Amino acid sequence: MRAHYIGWKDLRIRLRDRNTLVLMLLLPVALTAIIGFAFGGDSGISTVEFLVAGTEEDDLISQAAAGLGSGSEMFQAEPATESAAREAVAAGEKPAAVILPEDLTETVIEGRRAEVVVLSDPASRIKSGIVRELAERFVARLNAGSILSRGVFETLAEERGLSEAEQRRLGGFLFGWARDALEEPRLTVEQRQAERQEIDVRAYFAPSFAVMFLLFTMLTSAKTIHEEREAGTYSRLMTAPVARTTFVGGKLLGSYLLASIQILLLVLLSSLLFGIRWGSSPIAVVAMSLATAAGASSLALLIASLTRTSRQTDNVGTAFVLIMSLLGGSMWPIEQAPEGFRSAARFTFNYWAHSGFKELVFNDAGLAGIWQELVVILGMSAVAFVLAATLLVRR
Amino acid sequence: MRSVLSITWLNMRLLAADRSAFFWLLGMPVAFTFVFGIAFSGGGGGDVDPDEIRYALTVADLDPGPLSDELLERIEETDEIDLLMLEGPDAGEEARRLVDEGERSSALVIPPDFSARLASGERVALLFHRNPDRTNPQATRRTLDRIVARLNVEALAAEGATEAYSLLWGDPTPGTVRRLSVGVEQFVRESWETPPLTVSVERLGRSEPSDVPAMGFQHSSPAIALMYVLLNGLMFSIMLVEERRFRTLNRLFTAPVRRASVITANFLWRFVVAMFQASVLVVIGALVFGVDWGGSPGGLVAVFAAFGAAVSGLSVLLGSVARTTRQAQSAALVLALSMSALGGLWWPLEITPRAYQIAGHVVPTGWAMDAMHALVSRGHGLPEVLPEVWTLLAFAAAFSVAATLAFRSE
Repeated sequence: MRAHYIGWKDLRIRLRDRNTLVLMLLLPVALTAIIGFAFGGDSGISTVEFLVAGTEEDDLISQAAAGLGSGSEMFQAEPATESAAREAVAAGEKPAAVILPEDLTETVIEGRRAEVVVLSDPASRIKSGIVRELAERFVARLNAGSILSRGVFETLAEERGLSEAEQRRLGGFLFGWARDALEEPRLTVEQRQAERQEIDVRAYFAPSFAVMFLLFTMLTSAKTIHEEREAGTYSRLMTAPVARTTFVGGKLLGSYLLASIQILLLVLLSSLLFGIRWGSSPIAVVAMSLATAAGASSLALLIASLTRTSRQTDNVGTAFVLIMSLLGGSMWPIEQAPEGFRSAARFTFNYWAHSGFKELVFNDAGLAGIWQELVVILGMSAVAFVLAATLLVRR
Repeated sequence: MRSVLSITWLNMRLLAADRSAFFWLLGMPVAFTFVFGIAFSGGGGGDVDPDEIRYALTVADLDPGPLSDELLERIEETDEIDLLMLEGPDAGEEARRLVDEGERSSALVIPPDFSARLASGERVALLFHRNPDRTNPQATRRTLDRIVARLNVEALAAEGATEAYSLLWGDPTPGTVRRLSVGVEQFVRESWETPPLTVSVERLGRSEPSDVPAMGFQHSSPAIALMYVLLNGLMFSIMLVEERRFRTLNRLFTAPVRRASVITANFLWRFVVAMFQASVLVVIGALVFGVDWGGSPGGLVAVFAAFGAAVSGLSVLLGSVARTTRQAQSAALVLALSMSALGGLWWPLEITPRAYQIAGHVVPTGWAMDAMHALVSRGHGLPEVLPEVWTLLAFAAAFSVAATLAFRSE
């Protein structure tokens, strides 16, 4: 009996099992869709609604609210009393409120010290952080205008001495002039982000989840080695003229074929359902997919070879996959992790597989752009395969 | 009642005999809490004093004039940024490449005619490259904006003095403008560090920065505890399928045990395990990760109990509906992971669109996480989280009724 008979039979059994298909395809696609729902599309983050309170007249508070909101539709600032603002933030109805000091206008013109207080809901750290940022920008503008106009006023007063009429005239003029002059500053900072297409979270997470669930599927496939023994089918098979190497080879072949089908189907499905473009080089996509399939099937087989029962393979394997997925960035953007963490990630299979697919999706890298990832993954596959085959044949 | 307790006790003993169960109930959630805690903290996940943090800024100074040196001196004076200077005629291009390729987080390029244009009163822009994958450039940019704002105010000194002088007394002489400019610049220098308005933040709740050293764990600990109570709870559905497969349920019904007792026991042991798991994770969160769980132990118990009841009901329902262990396992994974993602256990719901927030409250996780925020972050007590507790109990009732109807012994 040749190995490919065993491999083909395994593949047919797995593909007929609806539960395998759920794990292989439905779950990664569903999670990618959920992430796309959360962070993708045009709707983005919901509006940042906050309150502005103070003792100024209502129209001044409204003006301050408009100034704080920067005229953007993303921010919705409403005037309120301080007690109402406190109540709303404490109850978690609003993420934050800005409390302006008494006599804000006088304070700024005369340069008196005062505090703008941002009340924040600790359960809403991101939105309250945004409101704090808005308040700081608003205050920075007022401070710059105040310092400039007072600087000019004080210097002129020192130069010539100012009559009361001159003081009034100058005071009325200076603050408006400073505000207008600072509207169009001479020195600006122009920000430029790295030239890359806008990050589509689904394009980022589709390969992550594909790799993670590929490993899970491979585990269920690899543990059939133990299940065959536990169910007695292995003993029956050994009564036929089948070498152990043929059995192990067949198992690996079945796993590899299943892995290849899974990863290629996920690439296809994510293109059709989410419009993800996997780069312009189909050869590179297929090469990356087949290498990833080889890595995942070999690693799963290695776990099966190191464990003694199907239950052990399940437990040890699932822990292994989850830890590698956590460390390797299959569950969150590893780019945001501290440096030491990113270095540790390079020891995981998930990191290299995800890195290769990311290069294809975001940088349109061809084969030449992913050679490093291919070498590392194929190296891992070879080591895992040799170890697994040796252990399984010996057992 | 005795039979309910006996079956419950037996199931718990079976679970306790399985050493790997402890790893899944406690080991994995602790590992997840640790990693997600670091991810949310944006740093080491520990006690970080923002005043002590310095960021690096790569600089390509292409301007031979004196004003770029002054700008760089001002940046260094802040003591917030370390400058990494690039030399040579291609420094600007090199700065762009280093950021684009992810070797540096941010870079500043000072254009070649910076001093000349500023001196002649023309507008000029500094180029700030930032890596969108990193958060450090936000802080660097804030510092840079502060310095640029001050330079802009100083640059307006002469113009302001001229305009004001002309308003009162006619055109000033060049000597007067110079003298007045120096005076205004002096005033700006002296006043800049003590501006009239300052911003302070008042957090309305328990989570004052001094109380909570590890802000990342403050979110990850409750979220992961809920996620693993859900994931493990739903995985227990497999045991019910196995009991049917090995006909132990059938055998049980040959004894003088009522169907209601068996169903109740199945709810009860799952509920007890969920409470045990939640309690240990709360203690580990407090002792190992320094999480402040709020001032209402009663509220915490009520929320975990209501959530545990909902999970137990769903677990028995799943175990009754599933035909094979693989089917139960796949369904448990699909339900647990998608409910966790939808309910805000992986990321805060506040940053998602409104429709997503609504969808997050169609499942129990959204309500449980809301209650956790109220207890842990806002310091609320049991009365404030009662609406969430009642909603979770309604989920528990609905799942339990459905599970009772679907429960079968073969």
